Amino acid sequence: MNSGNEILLSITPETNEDYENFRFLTESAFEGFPINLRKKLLFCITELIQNNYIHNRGNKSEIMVYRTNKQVIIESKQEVSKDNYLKIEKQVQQINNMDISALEELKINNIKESSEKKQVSPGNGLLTCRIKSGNLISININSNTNPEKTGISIFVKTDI
Amino acid sequence: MEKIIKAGTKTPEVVADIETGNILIKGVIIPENPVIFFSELEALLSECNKSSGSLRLNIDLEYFNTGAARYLYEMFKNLHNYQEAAVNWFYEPDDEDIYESGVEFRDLSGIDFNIIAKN
Repeated sequence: MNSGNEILLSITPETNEDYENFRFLTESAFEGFPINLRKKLLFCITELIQNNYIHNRGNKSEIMVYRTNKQVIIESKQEVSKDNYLKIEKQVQQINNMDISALEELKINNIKESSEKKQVSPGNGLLTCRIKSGNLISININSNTNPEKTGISIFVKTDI
Repeated sequence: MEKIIKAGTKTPEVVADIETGNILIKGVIIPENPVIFFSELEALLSECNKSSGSLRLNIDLEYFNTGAARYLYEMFKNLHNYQEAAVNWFYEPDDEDIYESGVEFRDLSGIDFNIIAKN
């Protein structure tokens, strides 16, 4: 994050208090935005927070939101296992290589398939972030010193 | 007679008129595990239908998570099992995400589905 950026929100979803209140924290952080942008941000940040809470519970995580002149950036910082990192990286690459209409089709297929297979979640979290933001998802490695875990940041950038 | 499912921090309020079959679902649907909320809702739909013989779902959502999308899809698909069912899907005029979700659910469900801009 550049020093000139305005921080809108910083929460740590692994703490129960922040997780239980995340709806009010996020809605309040995006209150001043036009409805179209606000809804996109709420759809995306909800997926990132709950992805972390459900699939990465117990590991360090932080969600930061900041605003540049042109974009609102949601950064999901988390520590993940090496295997998990490789899975996330592969998924991000696949999503970024598809155009929006192909992603919309994939999203619908995932919903239908998860219904047929009786899975709780269709696994559309990152895909939804890519569709709603309209931009590519970025993933960075922040730290790689722990032999078992990798510190990463996932960035979802939405144009203002 | 009215039956109500109270809104939670991650679930919407549901107000059902058992005699007429009119049901309002209003708020957000973002639970980690949507099974509990949707089971309760399905039971209410069934009770309404038994009593009134028809269902009219009025859905006024702010946003929902991808887990809820799967259960909304199933709820709309299951409406085919009822003799008479229709959906009114409401959206704020500038809210293209909720509008587009309505279009997707309408196309997927194939039921009587009205997408209505709120005043």
